[in-house]
Amino acid sequence: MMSLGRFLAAFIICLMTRPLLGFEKPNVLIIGDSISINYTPIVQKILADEANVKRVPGNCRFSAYGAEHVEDWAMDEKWAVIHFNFGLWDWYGWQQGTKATPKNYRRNLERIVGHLKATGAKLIFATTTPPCPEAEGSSRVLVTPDRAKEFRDVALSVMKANGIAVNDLHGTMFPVLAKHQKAANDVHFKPSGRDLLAVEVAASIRNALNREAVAGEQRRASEPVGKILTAAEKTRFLQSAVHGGDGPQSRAAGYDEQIAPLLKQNCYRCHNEETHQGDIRLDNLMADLARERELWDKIEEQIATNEMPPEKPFLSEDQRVKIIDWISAQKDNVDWSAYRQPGHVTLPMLNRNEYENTVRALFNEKHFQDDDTHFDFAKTLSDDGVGDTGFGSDRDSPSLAMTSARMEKYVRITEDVLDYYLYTDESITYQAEAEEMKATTAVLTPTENGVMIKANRDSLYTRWQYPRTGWYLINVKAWGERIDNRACAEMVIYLDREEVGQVRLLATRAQPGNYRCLVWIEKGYHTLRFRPQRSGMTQEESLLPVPPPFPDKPVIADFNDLGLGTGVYMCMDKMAIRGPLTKLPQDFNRNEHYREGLTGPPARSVITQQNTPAVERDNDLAWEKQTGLTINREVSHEEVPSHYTDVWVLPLVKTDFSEPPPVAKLIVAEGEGSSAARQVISRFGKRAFRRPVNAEDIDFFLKFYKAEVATGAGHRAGLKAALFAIMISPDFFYRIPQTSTATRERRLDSFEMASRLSYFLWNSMPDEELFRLAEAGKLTDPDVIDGQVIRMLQTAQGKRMAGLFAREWLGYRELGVTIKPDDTLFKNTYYARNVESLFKNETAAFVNHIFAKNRPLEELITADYVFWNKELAQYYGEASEVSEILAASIHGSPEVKIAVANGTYTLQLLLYEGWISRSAEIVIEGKTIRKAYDQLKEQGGTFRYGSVLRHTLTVTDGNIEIEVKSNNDPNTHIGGLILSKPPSRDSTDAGSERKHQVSDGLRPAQILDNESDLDLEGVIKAINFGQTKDVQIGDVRFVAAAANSTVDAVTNKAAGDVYSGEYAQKIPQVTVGPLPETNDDLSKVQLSVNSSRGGLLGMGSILTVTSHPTRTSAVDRGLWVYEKLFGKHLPDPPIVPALDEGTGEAGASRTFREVLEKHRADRQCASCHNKIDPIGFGLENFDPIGRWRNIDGGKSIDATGVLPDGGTFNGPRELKQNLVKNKADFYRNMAQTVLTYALGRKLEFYDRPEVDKIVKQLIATDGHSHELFKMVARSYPFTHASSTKFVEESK
Amino acid sequence: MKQTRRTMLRGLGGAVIGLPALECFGEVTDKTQAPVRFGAMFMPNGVNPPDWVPKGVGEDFELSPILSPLKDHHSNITVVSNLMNETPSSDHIKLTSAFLCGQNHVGQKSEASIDHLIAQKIGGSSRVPHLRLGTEPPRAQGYLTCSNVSWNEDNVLLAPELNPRVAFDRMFRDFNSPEVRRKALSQRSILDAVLDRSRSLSKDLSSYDKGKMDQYFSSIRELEERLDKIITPPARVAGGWTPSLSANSTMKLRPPEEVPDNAEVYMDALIDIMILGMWTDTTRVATLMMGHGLSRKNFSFLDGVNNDHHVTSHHRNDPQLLREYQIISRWHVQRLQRMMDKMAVIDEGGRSLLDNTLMLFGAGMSQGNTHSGVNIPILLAGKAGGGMKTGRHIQAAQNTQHSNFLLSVLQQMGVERDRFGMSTSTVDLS
Repeated sequence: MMSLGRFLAAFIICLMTRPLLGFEKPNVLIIGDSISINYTPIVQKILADEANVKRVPGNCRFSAYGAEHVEDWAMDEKWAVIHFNFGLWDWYGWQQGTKATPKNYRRNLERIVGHLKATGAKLIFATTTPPCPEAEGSSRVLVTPDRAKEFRDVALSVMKANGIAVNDLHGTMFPVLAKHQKAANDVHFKPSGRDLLAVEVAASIRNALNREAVAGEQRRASEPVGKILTAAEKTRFLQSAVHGGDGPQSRAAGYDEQIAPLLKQNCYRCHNEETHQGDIRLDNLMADLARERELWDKIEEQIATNEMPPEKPFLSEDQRVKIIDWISAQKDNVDWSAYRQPGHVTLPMLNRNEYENTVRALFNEKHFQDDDTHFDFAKTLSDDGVGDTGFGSDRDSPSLAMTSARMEKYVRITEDVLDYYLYTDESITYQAEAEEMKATTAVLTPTENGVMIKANRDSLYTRWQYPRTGWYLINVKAWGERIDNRACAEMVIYLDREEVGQVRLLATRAQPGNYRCLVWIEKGYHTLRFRPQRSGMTQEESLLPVPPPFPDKPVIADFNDLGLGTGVYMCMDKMAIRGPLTKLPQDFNRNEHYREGLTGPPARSVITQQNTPAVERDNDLAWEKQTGLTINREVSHEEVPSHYTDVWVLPLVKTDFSEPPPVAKLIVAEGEGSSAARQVISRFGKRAFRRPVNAEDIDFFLKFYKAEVATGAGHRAGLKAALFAIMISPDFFYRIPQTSTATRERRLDSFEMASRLSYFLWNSMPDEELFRLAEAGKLTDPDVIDGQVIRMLQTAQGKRMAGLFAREWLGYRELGVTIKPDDTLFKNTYYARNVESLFKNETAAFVNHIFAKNRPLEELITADYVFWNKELAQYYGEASEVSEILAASIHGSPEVKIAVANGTYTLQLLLYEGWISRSAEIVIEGKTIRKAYDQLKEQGGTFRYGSVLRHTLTVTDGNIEIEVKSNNDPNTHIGGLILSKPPSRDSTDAGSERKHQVSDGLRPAQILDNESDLDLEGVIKAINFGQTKDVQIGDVRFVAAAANSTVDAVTNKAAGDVYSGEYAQKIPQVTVGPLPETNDDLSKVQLSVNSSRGGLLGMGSILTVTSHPTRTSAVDRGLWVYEKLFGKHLPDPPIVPALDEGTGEAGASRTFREVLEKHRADRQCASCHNKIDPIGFGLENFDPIGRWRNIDGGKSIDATGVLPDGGTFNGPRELKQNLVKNKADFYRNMAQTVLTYALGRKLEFYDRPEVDKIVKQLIATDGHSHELFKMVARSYPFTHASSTKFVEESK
Repeated sequence: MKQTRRTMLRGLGGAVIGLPALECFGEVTDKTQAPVRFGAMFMPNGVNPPDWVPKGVGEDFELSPILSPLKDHHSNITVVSNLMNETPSSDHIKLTSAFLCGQNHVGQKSEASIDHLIAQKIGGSSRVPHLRLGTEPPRAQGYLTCSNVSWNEDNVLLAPELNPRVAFDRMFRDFNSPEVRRKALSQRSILDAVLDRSRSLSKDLSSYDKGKMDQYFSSIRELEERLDKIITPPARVAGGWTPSLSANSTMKLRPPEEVPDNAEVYMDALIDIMILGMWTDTTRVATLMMGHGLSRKNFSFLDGVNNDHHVTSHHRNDPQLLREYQIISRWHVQRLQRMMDKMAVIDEGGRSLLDNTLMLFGAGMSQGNTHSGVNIPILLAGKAGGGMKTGRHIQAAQNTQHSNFLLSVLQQMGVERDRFGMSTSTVDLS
């Protein structure tokens, strides 16, 4: 038999009616529903040499939909012929219900025809292929021949009226319907029918093209195909098409012999014409791995995971392997490159991150670090969600869209940014004499050089407009009036309602002080307020000379004579403010950050206004005695040291005193006037639009400059208007394709490549080097691309990208935002240590290391190093089991009640009894467990820091009472308490010295003098009571926490200190390298070989985000590994069956693992949970906040598991080794993930050849990260673009 | 390439579209009466229906445990039960996006949401035609669609503002000074010119890209409308209604810069902004996402709760989880109660702000355990200016399309539609 391919070639040549060479192929558009989706590829092949046949992407659906969209579909290009059909959807009323009437159909067709005629193309209307004889499967609608005819007549009359040719596909198919239709309830066709239609469509298109080409030739467009094809050719073609040949659309080898029988035996029973369960039919497979790719992927997955068949008879293992191997071999045989397309990213718009980075880079290339400018984009711009970095299909996501709310924010940011950068070297100065300032009191007390106002009552203020945001410097000339050195006036400076600075006025009338304060002021109107308040003085300050009496006024004893009452006063002469500063003042110590203690001299309680002189004196004497200092009671005229009179007021607001930004480079040294503006616009425009700007662009933006300058505004105001216009232009927000008229794939030019690379690897605009290479046209050279990729990965911007990439890919962006560990349970650990940001930094630093340093990708899982600082090292180093945090005091003679469930317990008390001999009687549940004793004597004179008292008891009243009767010795206390379930196996544990006996009553207590004898099996509660410092006993570590709080839950007779604490287990040594000694940047720490920590799976970020607030989730963790690291997906869980069984029992009696085991016993659940739960079990040694633990819920962690591939493991380390055994899957996921990120769109089947290529390369090169990034940047979809989407879609 | 009719309409119609809306609005409102406002509050993760559905039908109904905080508002609410959102079985994501649209947006275009449609009808003259607030950033990856209930006609997700300060400033702060007016004028002229230039950029784009560029055009035009309101504030009609609180007097209530840590403080801050917006007539339509559709918000700050919201919603009939689920659901209703308490005492000339408002409160999903759209929790609060007969439990027929109800709400708010989403009929609310 002749192959289809050869046949088609012959077919085309023999029918060629005009020379093809030297002509540009005409464009042909096919518009239609799923019927045309199916036949179009064949038509394309038939007409491959004579026309560019295209189809509207997707399904054109019903006529009303067509009428709405046809203009879009047809307007992109010049079409020679448009072949269109509407009808099936109208008959069946899919998605439009009762609106589908012949009347509407007519109206819509008329509209469609109207639009299409306007294109000037030759039009062919195809009649709708016949309805299926039975009710249609999805809609359950039966279309009668009468209804079909009614519509058909409508269509024919519209076409006739408009003189449009008709291709009667209905007529073609009607006589042979039974043979070609897929099923009696399916309007679609088998491949044979599809091919028949394709031949007809191709013939009618060719006919129309010929008519157009051959002027004056009079042939009917709808001339039957038989007139064009010879009868013999037609028969041969149809035979070939119906029976299949060995061309590209053929059945895969071995299907009929090997695979079909197996499917028939095992699958057809559910997936046949009648039942087609899950909407899948397998009895009519074409066995074409390319065209049926989704179906075959599904078959492969279901069989590989043993999910199908769900009931007996099952496939044997041999059969499964046979099918899977066959599918995999056949897939490899497919020439996927035939399907390769660049894909289309709908008009890429800068997301929030990119916008922010681009704006920063635009003004100053070096200022890409987030902290370097004071614009907080994060607060202003909303989170884009997935749009943040470009994962998945988010470029097309509905969230990354321009809305007016978003535009409003852009406008505001643009205003602010321009003010900030354009004007930073232009400062303003305001000044005011105190008398001119507004005051909160009507009566100001004038002095010879200023006004005097009373502390704690009045204030002076000014309200000015600050034109720009930045650092402002306030100078105040002022001093204080006071009667002695016990209290003085303290000036508080407010910006609006916020206290920004505070200083004690120790300068005097004779030597007024100059007080300077740096304040960050946002542009706009603000009130600066100076308010004195009464303050104590430090010991040092109290030694200063007391100011001389107020001239001409009765001396102080008090100020009553001034009519002011007693008190302290601020006198202000004048003030000035200047800014924004271009540099911080030289003598300002920027390292001396915000000092909280500034306001707080040791309070001298003696300072009260009510005190009589006698009391004052006594107090002074007492103070002198206490401090050993002498109060200076002499009225002195000594000079006040200058560090009291020339003072930097350190802001009270926590601030980073970063230097102001340099003035934007583009403004400097350009001169003024139109020609200077033209230069600025040209340079700025090129960078903002990331492409050269033409004269037209420049003229356009220059208009704004001129208009503004014409109003009398200055050069910069003019520039601001022009740059504002640039920054709100679409060219800035969007990456607009420059040569978009080409609809086929095209290679990106050098400038487009510069942007693609920079937004891929930096989330920002290209830098100078990229621009330079783009200008030289070098960015299409793969070697140059390679070089740039490596350079870019190793820059700070590359590091920033790694952090963002990791956050999105690994999904920990929600940590601390929507996902938060329980803040009661983890108050003293997770929250006290503020590890959240450290976690994120750790993962970012690690991923950056892998990327920048060209590490093998598998180290993401298996790395034997980590990035820690001191704090993180400590956190992980003492990784711990969280106990319930209680608080209690056992100082003195306390009585403690601990609420517990009834049952039998082992109670171990840790006795911490100071450094001298103690004695106390310990009573538990009313019975004396230990009598007072002389510890030194009992322990042979060698005191060990603690000893342990252990006994077993049964609780019946819901609590345990412990009483310590100390014999007037206030220092006896119980240091801690460990409550555990006595292990039942102990009775057979003959080797153990410890005797745990389950008993109803009280047993004589054991007193162990060795703390390492502590029994740590089955611990339920562990409380550190009395220690203010951390205590280590054997492998147990008690971490002390808050002190001096009272807790209702505990009855505490003694008024001792109250502590809360927690119990921590020591974990084995994890590192071999030195631990970081500072909390500065994270540094690389080498782990020991036995460590479980390394890699992503040992990181707090991942472990916490995959946990629930109060506990771990093996399911979530397993799913995370499965999806994020291996790119596999599980079907959504079915409606969750109510798991009634077993929930009545007390939760503590079973581990969560046991609950899950039960879950997995359900076969429906098991198919998925068997894949993910074991992975999660392997990570159970990590608690919900990422710390190590050996026990959970009173039981030892069982971290063993069996993976679906049979690999077994115990604990995280072995789990990780197992995971990286499957490198190909891991590399494939990495390739897909990075390629997705790079493209900013979902990957499609047509990307497969590229992914395959990358995976192959990674396997060949041991998966080093640079290979991955280079391959992606060189890849076909990355270097090409298309302006059209090709998405295949069936109804 | 030719300029098509559609782009012409979209390209040039902005100003034309803007103006008639005002006139049209003038026709339907008695200017001496306070306007009717609309609010929507979305509660994530559904509820346990037996704990929500009131006992008894009609006016004689008994509040359920979840609804118990509304006991003082018995006469101000209308509970509607037996609504089915789209299909019997679905998921968090679809049911969230269908909450105000009647049809989900997962991979398909659906109706614009009713809050957006109502804002187009009644929001025109207010400073912020549609205020949208939320407490959680959008979910990552494939879950984006559940982060949002508001959509426009072009299938664009209308994201909520999460920062109370930013939302507040947008409502109240930027309208005050002559400086702002001067700037608005200059921005207006630049925007106009840039818009003109942009049209020429659009002409070479493919149709997909054009659609996206159209978003840019509309956003610029909407912004211009906003600037117009700053440049020429809409004049109050003499003798006409004025709000009992002026927008300028709200400045002392400006929220702090940082988003509150405490979930309750945060939510109430957003609710207060909604109230202020409506009270001062700065906005007439407000939507609040109390969480996104898959919210894992940790509610262990509530007594008796140890789990996050999503976990409790998948309660597996575990009595403990059910208890926690109920407590969390009730907490959401308490937020509404607090809001109603405040609105009920704001007098607008004989009627309270609450009387003049229609609040739609509820969830798109019945309960997490079944991911079901059957019998979703829905209640209306307020009398919509007198048009609503409240104090009732309307029990619709089993599996009544939620779209029917949404259509009735649209009609109640004066939007002329006879079909919406999957509607087959309406639900009688009058």
